[in-house]
Amino acid sequence: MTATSYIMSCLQTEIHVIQDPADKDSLIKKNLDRSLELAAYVMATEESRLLLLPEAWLQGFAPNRSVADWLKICIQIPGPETEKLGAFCRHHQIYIAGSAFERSDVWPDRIFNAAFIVGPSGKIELKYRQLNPETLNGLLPVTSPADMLDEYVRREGELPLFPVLDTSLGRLACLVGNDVNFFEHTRTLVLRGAEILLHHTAETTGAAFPVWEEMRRARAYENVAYFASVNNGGLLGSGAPRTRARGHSEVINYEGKPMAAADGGGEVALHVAISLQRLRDRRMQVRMNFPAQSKIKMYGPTYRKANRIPNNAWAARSLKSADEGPQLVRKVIYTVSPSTAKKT
Amino acid sequence: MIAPYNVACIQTAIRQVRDPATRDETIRENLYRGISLMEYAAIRFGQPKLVVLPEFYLTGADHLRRTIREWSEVAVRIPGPETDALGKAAQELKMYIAGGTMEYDPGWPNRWFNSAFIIGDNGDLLLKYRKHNGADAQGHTTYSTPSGCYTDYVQKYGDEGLFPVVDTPIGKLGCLLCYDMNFPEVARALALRGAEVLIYPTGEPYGPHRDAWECSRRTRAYENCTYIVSVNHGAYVGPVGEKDFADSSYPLFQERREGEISPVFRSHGHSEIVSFEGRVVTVVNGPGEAIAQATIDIEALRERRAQVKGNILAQLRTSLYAETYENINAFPLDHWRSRPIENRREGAEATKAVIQRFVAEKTYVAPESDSVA
Repeated sequence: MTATSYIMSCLQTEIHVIQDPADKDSLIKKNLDRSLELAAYVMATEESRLLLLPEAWLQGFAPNRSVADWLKICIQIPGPETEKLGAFCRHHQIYIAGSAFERSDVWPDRIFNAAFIVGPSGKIELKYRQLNPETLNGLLPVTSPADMLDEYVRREGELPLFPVLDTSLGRLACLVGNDVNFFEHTRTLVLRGAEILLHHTAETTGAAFPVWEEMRRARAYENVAYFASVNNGGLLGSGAPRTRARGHSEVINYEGKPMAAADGGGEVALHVAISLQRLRDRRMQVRMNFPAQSKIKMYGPTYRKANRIPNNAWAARSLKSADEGPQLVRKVIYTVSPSTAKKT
Repeated sequence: MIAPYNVACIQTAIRQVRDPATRDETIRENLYRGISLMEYAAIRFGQPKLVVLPEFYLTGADHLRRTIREWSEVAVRIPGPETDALGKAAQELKMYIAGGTMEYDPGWPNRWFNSAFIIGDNGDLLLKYRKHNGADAQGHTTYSTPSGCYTDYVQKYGDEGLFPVVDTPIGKLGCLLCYDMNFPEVARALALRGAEVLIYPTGEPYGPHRDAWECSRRTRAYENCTYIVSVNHGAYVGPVGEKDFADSSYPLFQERREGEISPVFRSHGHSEIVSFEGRVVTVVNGPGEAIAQATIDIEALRERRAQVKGNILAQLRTSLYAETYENINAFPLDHWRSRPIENRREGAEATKAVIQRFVAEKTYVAPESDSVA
């Protein structure tokens, strides 16, 4: 039975950052336990059916970490951490969507930035590996499935690149952080059936960030979809400012209008009523039905000829350091516009 | 090196062509009022190198009961006497002039287009763009779009004819029009072809979507690292009266009316210039005749595009998304290839068919009870 309307809650948690891989177990436990306390608080105060957790939820970020150390702090999905969430979901018959750095026995030397949805079954019902990681910005040595696309599809056939989960709460899909910059990503999810876009993010306060908020609204509006962004409320125990993430978790409706937003950083539980019925009514209307009016195939040749980031860039070997991303981007800039590239 | 230069939004009040018999007179009024305002901009604000006029600036847009044949009589040719006159003004005023107009091209019989143009400061017509999104999916009027006759269009003009960009001494310029802004792919296609300044003649009305349109403008500028020069109408002047409505199927319009029915300020004005960082540099606060100016710094934009961090255009996984865009069938191409759109309602019917297909293919979920629509 589909819910026509229900409450969704963004858990803007503070994350204890793992600096030394030796602290992995204790800090992950701390982050996980605190999240479950907050989740229990939400279940006691609201009849929420879907809880969202931020990007890097269990591990935080340490920018200069080696690939070997990154692999040490990654979790497996499913694994003991998501099983604990599963028990909570089974007990309350709810969904929880979260995001964490992941390793996989299928790809022993790769780091993924993954998002997942645990359902009332207690099992992982969706897993998405970030297609646009911060690797190209030089921040993390994370592999995008697109960086080894052919082999990825061969080995992971059953695991789609753009997963959409059909639930009683609507069709859910995840994106992570930087993905929001690329409308092609959300467009693809929506044309594969997504109704509610869950954006696990870790946006910091910075020059570009007023625009990140505008983008959330644009992604909702141009796709006639709900868009929920959940950020962390603080990154604790690292050298960087603890509220360098700006908080501002937010839910936007399918008209592109913000319904609720956290005013800033800190621990916050943000609750919003989602109306599936109204979204679905709206999508039956002709006027301004952008996904249905999109002349998608007209743009195919443009992308095909544009020659920006290629697929399979790290197919032959895994990333050795976070510096390799910017090297590839520099090559693209030079190829596209040699005269521009010489300017810097 | 391109030195920073001024650009001016010329937010004009438009006289609508009502009766095809008075077409020449009305178009001349719109044409010369636009040129007067350009002259004023040059005197009052300092010399702009580029001036931009609104969508269908010469003809207005009659959304009601005009036939394709009547439209082909009302619409202008590009190039034609009107763009020649603008070319003369461009030379005299030493400006690039861009804007929008309804267009008829005898090479495409039984069709008319909603087009934008750029004229160089030497008087030459440099670029013509035909709007991709609007009537043929919305159902409010009958202009054709290139995708409606996609195969023939690309055969004639090439893939680049869909998204033209012109390299000029004031930067690489491209155009999009009004409803196109709701589809992020249009601005992207222009930016991937090098566009640095997106010239955006628009005719957007007041409505619940107004915020979102402004948000989209800033987002497009940011995600493509382009300037956006957005110019809306200031007003619709001139009677919309009995002739338009006498044979309309709307019951309200069946009683004969005299004089104006559409509000003079039906557009919300709000012409604005957005920087490549997605920030509004200047804005007209509302409707009415107005001019807004700002400085465009192409070299600063090029420096930004040479940086790695946050460089969305360079970091775009075009190979990955090419696959998606080649394989998803949303609104069909070539829908009006063998028979051009004739009746404005056909656009809405086409979208309705896509919605029904989306439900069948499980892209959309139908609501449990009947839609309120």
